[in-house]
Amino acid sequence: MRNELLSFVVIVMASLQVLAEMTVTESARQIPVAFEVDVVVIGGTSRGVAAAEAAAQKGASVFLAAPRPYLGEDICGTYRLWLEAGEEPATDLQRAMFSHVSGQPTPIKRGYPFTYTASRPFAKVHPDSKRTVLTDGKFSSAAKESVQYGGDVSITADLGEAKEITRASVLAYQRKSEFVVEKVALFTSMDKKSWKKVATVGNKQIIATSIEEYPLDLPLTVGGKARYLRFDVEMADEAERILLAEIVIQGPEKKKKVQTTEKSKRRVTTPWTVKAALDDALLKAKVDFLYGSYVTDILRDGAGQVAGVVIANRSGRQAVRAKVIIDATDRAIAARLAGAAFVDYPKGKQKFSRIVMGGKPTAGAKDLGISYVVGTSRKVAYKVYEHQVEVDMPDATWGSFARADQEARNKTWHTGQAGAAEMLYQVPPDPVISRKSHKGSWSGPDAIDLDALRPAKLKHVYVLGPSADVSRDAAEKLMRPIAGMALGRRVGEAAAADAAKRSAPRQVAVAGRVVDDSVEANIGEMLNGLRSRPSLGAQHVPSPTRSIPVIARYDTVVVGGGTGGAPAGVGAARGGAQTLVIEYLHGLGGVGTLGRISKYYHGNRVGFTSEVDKGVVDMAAGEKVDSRRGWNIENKMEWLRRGIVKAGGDVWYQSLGAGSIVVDKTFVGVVVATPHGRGAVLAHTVIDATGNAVIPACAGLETQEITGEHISVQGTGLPPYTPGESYKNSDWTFTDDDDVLDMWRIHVVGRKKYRGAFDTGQLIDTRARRRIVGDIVVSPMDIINKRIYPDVITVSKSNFDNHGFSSHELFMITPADKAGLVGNVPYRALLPKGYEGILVTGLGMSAHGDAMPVMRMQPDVQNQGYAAGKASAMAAEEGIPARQVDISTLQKHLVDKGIIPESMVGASDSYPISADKMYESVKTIGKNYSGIAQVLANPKMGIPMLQDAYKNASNEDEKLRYAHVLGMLFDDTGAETLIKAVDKATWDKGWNFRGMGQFGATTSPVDNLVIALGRTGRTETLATIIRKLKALTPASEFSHARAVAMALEHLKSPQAAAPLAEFLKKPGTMGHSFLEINDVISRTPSNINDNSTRNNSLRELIVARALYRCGDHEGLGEKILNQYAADFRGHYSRHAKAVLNERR
Amino acid sequence: MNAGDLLSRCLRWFIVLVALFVLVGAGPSRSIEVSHKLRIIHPGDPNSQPIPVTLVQSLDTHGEPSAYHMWVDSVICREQNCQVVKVKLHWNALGKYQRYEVAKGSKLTKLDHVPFTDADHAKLQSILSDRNSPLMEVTKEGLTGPKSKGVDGVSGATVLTLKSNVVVGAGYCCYDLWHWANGEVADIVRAQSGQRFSEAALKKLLNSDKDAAISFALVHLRKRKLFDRETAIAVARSMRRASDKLIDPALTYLKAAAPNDAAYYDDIVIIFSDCSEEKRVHIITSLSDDKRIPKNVYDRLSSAMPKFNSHHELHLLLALITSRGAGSDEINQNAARLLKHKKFFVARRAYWYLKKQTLSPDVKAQVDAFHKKHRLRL
Repeated sequence: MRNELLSFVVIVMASLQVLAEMTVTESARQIPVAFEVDVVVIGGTSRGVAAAEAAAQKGASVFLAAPRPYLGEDICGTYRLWLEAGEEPATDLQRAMFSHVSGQPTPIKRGYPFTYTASRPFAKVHPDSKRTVLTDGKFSSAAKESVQYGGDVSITADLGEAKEITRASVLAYQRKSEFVVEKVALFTSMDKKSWKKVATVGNKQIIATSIEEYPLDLPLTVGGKARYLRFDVEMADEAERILLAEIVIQGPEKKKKVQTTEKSKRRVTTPWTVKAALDDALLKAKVDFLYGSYVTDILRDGAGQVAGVVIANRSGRQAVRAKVIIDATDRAIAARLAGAAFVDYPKGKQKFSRIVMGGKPTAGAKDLGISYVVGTSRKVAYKVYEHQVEVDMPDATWGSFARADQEARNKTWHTGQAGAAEMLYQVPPDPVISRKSHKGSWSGPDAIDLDALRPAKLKHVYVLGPSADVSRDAAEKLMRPIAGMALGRRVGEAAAADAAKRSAPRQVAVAGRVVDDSVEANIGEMLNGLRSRPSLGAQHVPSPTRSIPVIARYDTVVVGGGTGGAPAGVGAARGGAQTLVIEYLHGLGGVGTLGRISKYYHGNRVGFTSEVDKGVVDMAAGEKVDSRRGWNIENKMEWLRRGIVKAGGDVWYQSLGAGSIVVDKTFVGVVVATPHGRGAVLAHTVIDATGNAVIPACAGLETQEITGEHISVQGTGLPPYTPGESYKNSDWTFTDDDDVLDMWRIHVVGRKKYRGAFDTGQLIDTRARRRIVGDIVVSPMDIINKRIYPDVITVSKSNFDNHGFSSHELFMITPADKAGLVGNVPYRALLPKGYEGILVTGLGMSAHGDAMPVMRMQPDVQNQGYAAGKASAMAAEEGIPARQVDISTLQKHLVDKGIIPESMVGASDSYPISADKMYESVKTIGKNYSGIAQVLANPKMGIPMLQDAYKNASNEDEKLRYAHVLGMLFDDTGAETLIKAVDKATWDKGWNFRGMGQFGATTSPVDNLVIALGRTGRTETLATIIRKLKALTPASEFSHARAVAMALEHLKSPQAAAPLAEFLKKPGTMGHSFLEINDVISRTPSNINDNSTRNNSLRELIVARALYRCGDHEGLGEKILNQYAADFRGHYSRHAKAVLNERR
Repeated sequence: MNAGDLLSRCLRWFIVLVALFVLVGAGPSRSIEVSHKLRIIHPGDPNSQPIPVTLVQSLDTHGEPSAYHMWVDSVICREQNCQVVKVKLHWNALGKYQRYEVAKGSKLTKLDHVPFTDADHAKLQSILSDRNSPLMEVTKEGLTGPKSKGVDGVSGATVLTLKSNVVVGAGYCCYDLWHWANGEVADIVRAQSGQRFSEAALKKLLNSDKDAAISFALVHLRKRKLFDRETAIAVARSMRRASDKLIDPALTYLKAAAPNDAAYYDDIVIIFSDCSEEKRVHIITSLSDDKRIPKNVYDRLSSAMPKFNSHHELHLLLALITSRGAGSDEINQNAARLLKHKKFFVARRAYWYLKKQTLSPDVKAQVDAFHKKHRLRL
């Protein structure tokens, strides 16, 4: 059957009717166990969280799998952020979710107007020449909305006349050891001569590392009248300056009119408030939970009883053994997978609801009479509308729901929209058939017999949601958070009791079997388990050979609808390919939309990119567009979606590429995890636009990722999310996109970091991810050498802005600068070596990590994605593999589109570099290194010439340069010269990791010599390098520690172990791993561009690595590496494990 | 931009326009200059107060606008250590920046008062001539870049770090002059010329081989309501030469110019029958918002189908026809011709359309034959 499938896909021989019954056979495999619990909750709905919390409080061990990157999708995903009149929070959790001020700074109201003077001059970097900064009502940025004083300062305010004062506030920003206010004393006066001290306030958050997005409020309670107020602001001892944001002086509040309309009784919350409260509840209850996880399969014990689930997420699939399943999803997917009986989904017209906010809605929208208020210092109220959309539903497959979602978006999107629901809302018309149906309308959660939630003939499963066997009227009530959570608590307690009665399931295996005519294929996936569970790491449950359904077939399937994926979808669909784009989030465009980096940096803004840009501006339909502030995110998401849909393509949101389907080294489709389970999507060409080469990795192809070699990755951000606002770039951590635990960590921490935001982002802005090894690997030298290829498909423009440190020796010889560069991208860099049927576009393309900064700009990735899409359509049209498309035809199309210049069509490769050119380049090394990129492009040819040049050098400087380059290339010819130079040198100005906006050298000249010295491999270099190590202090820059570590670990000498351990024991050098979530939260600064934690961790990890490789000292290196192996940050963990495995 | 638009725009941007015409020189055979006194917010500093400037318009011997110039300060002094000199900026009649001059006896300087070299001047000229310079998208705060000390939390990726886009050491000067040369003043120049050009001069621009001239003509012919049929036909014909991006303003003009819907659709069909794929895509897209299209227009549009060479345009047209229920025998006949198209996806799209139609026997036979031949790929 194997070749039949290949034929089936390659020549597209099956009709859609055949598809409906088609399955693909998945071979037997072992699924790693991630959790073994009493109760597993499926779904992150508020009722699910309440159930999990209650079960845990009853002593059960609980795991919750949430499908979205947050908890509370029933409220936040549907954008139904309100309580109706009469719905009163009854529990602490409910109160926290709907308090609106829960966890947020007290909203600052504008007080009396006043003028002021200061006792000391402001600093020029944060000036206040007009004396308005403290009264302008703007206080959302330490950088832009502050005044700086060099020490204690007294601010005297004049109200103009005596006024009744009730409260005053000093708002200040804070960064540990730099700007910190210790306390504020308030004095009042009627005449500015005699002063009366009326209040003091200390800084209760003085230990906080950073408060820079939203200022710290230092409130002072006052009574009585005064004209003058003097605020004596005292700087903390360890600080160098203070940054004040605002001073507010308030009088008695006027009583507000009581609003009595029905609509006004709705209590509105924010997504942040709900999500943070639900996070807190589970953390407090010690319930394990993960985001981004879909249930895909059911586990059964030896007796055939339900015994847990299999979930799919960015780490692949894992098993969760459990005694009881609480299915808290709306459509009861786990219960369906477990075989529960349901009422048939009625074919035909179905009504769905969709919420939109802001702007003027399309016809038929219902004004709900409420507004969502966003922003912190400057608040904007967006009116909220509800659309009822009728859609023809042929069936209840995921494809039909996805089409309904597209139709709803077609009908409800409007200009000026600031936000919209991520998902449709519908009371399911097809409830479960239970043990005892609950008849009649809703009379409270306590009136529901729990048997109505227990599927007939199915043990150990609860359906907690509107698919329960209750009247549809009651089901609608159950979807309301207060009622749902109340019932959730009952179910959680009942499930805990059930679990206590059931012994641990035995002989647990994944349910499933092979059906007739199932076609064989290699289904690849990640089965590495969840690394936070080392104790369970060796445990697996067997999954037998079984059939998985084919849920769709297309010419092109694009996995990931981000910066490159959405354009690929447009390119493929316009090219005539039947196209499907699958995207996990709820909008297209990736970092430029949901990632909020909604402004280009560099990039070649031509071709498809210029079409996108114009289209997005045109969608503003008369609204003022200020390109300096970034594009409109909603408009861009919609433009891209329409671009695909109008050209005939389909988009599935909330869908995750979770596996590869390969036949005879040809990709014939992908496995997709959806909210409805897991299935196969067959295609002529798969375009991996995950930016992380997920699909090739699933198939086991060779990829480039963090190993033991180095830990150089670009910084990662996650922004707060404010509807209606645009650009917000951040860089404060690293995230491994393959590691669901790491992603969970950044979301949990991000929510704490952005207290007071309307919402937190859902897209993690990683800049460097896993890449394929393609037919060609673009190197940094190719870029500097301006290499032209015969198959150029995009011409990228940027500089080496690497948001971190480089690993390539090129940059340890001549550092990158800010100069703009051109990076030609060959089509072959999108083709994984040795495989057909797949293209990889965007960050996952084939290039060295240090070359990527020039090719990762959004304008270029958009053009590259479009080109990949077009190529896939050409392949499908011709019935040939993507590797065989006619390059000149593709290039001519790209020329017409304006993506590449005509000169690229039929161009010849500018490599290889001739011997004459190499000789000339080698000559330049002695003078200024200028030809280094040519030399490194072919070191085999260059090294003998360098050796000759070293021997014949005319002076010591030249000699040193040749020795330096030879050393970097692991050649010891110049070792003596290097020893002399390093001995003579004292440590120069090194480099610390900052991430955002860092350019140029990431190693100092002395660092470079030290690294080169170590790479000579000569043992006599050891003493010199150790002397350099001993000269380092904890205050020394990171790059010096890295250089010494790199040098010593190459020598691998046990003599280096003790000095390395001694360095690690210096104060502040160890203990920077992130091992416990509450500790991580407290140590992550609120600054969106954190400068501290990464630097410290990197230094500790890299020095420990060198120590371990040098034989270790009293087990210290191993101990630190083991800590980092368990670190929440996936890259650190991956790196530490790889190093530890060198000896295992 | 008509006077009303200009006024409202000026108000919106806090620009107070006080036009004061001062004739310099006289007589029909000599060129003249007209001075316009403006109060305008410095385009490089949107939060500042309006400042007075004088925009000088040059008229040729026929009284047609030929050029503009204006003196501005080389830089807003944001730090105490700067040297401000007067710079004269020149635009052509269509608002495109041309060149600059520095006041006699003055010099543009860089950091530490180092004078501009010839290369710096050449670079500045090249910067100011680039309408799409990244300077367009950089705020003045973004110019400073992240500093490790003193300035806090500046987002690095917004920062102008492109050496190639500024004269190093004169970033603010480049930034301010670029916004003068390519900002609101250029819009005002275009508005002035649009009002001043004679009808004949405007129509003549349609014959230009430059997009900028045709684009200018399309905008101002519409604003001045020059809607005679002769001009409308000239506009339609200009679309054969003009680049694809001008199709939208051309359609906007034609819609406004047409005395009735039928005339507009006639113009559309004329363009549609002889234009690029990209223009056809734009035309179909524009029609997708128009619910009043008579059925026969679809038939006429479909007559261009045999010329189609891409799936995209065919898909959009057939999707439009389908959504309007506008199918006909004529469309079926035209679609059937595509069943033998050399591009399989074009043929397949035509097949999928025809499969859902009620077909005449001969078309049905063609469709069946296509199905028989390609059934494995459908």
